[in-house]
Amino acid sequence: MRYRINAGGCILVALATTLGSASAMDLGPYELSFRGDLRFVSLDAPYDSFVNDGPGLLRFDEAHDGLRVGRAMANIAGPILETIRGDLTFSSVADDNDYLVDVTEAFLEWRPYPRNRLRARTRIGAFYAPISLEHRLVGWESPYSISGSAINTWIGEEVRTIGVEQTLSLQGAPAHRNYDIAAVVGAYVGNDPMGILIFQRGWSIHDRQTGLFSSLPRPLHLAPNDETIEFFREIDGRVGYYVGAEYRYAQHHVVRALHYDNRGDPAKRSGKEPAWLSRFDSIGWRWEMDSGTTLITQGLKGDTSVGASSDGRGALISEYWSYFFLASQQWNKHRVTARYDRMYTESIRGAQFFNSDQSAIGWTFAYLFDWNASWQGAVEFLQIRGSAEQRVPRGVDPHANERVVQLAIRYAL
Amino acid sequence: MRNSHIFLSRISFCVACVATAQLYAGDLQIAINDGAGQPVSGAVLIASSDSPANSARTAENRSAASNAIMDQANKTFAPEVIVVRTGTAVSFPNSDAVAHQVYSFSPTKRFSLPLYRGRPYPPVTFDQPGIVTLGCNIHDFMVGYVVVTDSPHFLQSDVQGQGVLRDLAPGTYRVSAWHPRFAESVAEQAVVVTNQNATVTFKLTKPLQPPRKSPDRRVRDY
Repeated sequence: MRYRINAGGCILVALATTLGSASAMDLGPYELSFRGDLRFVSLDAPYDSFVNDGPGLLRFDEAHDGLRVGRAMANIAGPILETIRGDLTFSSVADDNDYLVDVTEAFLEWRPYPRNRLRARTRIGAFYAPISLEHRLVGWESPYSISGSAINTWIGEEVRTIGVEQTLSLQGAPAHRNYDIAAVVGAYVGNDPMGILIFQRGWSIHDRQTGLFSSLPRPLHLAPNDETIEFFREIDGRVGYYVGAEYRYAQHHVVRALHYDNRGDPAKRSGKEPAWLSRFDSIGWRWEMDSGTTLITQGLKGDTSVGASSDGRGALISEYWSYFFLASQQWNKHRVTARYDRMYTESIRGAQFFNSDQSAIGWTFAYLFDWNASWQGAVEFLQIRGSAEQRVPRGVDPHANERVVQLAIRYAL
Repeated sequence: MRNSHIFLSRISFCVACVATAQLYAGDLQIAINDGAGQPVSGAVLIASSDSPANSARTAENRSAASNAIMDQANKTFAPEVIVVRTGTAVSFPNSDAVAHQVYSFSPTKRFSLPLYRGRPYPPVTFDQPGIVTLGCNIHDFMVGYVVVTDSPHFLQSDVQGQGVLRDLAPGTYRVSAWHPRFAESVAEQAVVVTNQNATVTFKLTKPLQPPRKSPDRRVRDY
């Protein structure tokens, strides 16, 4: 058992103190939010975490368990002009990688007053594309559990829009209809390494979001001095895009679909960092009942490739898919959540050079208790069981059963 | 002397008219049920008359229109629906700690108000009859309604789907019903009010559309 309150704990306390003072001031139209958690982590896993350059799929490992800071996040949002709002999120994941505090989102949002049922929204900056139906709290956190699904864990790790997004929504209420429909299109740069974790490590399940300026240990070391991955780099000069649609019915049902393509050129590289061509389609459905029950399901399927090839598709190609089912029940101050994740990757070209086959199942059970508007207790059991051939070059068994229990005290302001 | 006599005569006549109207005023009981026979609560029920006397009262009502409040609390409009007479000034306070930008693009009344805590804005005068849909430019899920009517005779049905308009002058009235979750258009009904109580019942053919779910106050959907 270890007790590690590293510098992240100091950041947590400093942020809470600062924001606590700020909250007492009149911030006018600006909203200041803070969330942070202190958690006790207990592991039953054979490998070191990928966060610490190991072959494990969990965020923590037995060298990094015990009492820890989970995450500290501060967000400020408010008007720059009447219809232009700014949104800035600082985050600390309190581990040993790069910056102790980094930015996870920073964008401007233009919302002109609607003149008819069609409403427009433009975002420019760095932000999450509209994919997750779980991450609904400020700071892109989930109200249902500590860890997100495998799909949205990956979104938090590798996928960020650094560009512009336009949303057009047709509002139902003015026509006395109970549904809204929306279409979204985004264009972005700086996401060329996207796909490397799925390829070299496989899917994972945790709550660690990558900061815009941060890096992680590279699962497969191909050359000296390339130990880390910087995820939000532009390598090939190509602009990626996504298009999507959303349907909402009475705020009870949300169906969201997105096609994502970073249009990477797998033949290009910048220094030792290659560009990855990564594409996927995602579709999800959330159903919130008046009884307090929430059901969410989402599926994502795509491929990623890297390296020059005669057909331009890439020398190494891996396909990946995942889906999950989540059921959550809220009773007053209590919430229980269960989630099943299925994760799969397969090398379809170049497996003789690197086999990226992964097949795993994840189970997550969480209980959350709201003491009051600011304090919450949470306990979560997470298990990832399956095989990941990506471990073979490290000389370890690809099969593993990794389990973690986290007991957290969370504070929100 | 002669002028004061005429003036007193007119006063006496008016008092007599009012006394007669009060004497013969009747109550109008209205009920509304959905397609399954369940009572519809919160329906806006308005009785209008085209009689000259009522038109005169309409002008009087406009000048007599008072103030109303449509608050924002817990990221919802509170209440969801208000009914006001034409000419009413509606205040939009913001009881939330977060900012709201209330707007309407309804032809009846177009306006926008950036509402920050502690910064009051002048009320908005609703000077035309009709239904005004309210939205928030920051929180898309917020929806509210202001129903503006020339008639002084309106109410919102109770949990039994009922309400009583009292002391209506005798005459023929058109009674309309509206609810933001109606799944059908509901025709007006004509009713004659005498000194006896009159009754109007609306029977919908379809159930109401399901209510929009109130969001968790912590939610800021991505």
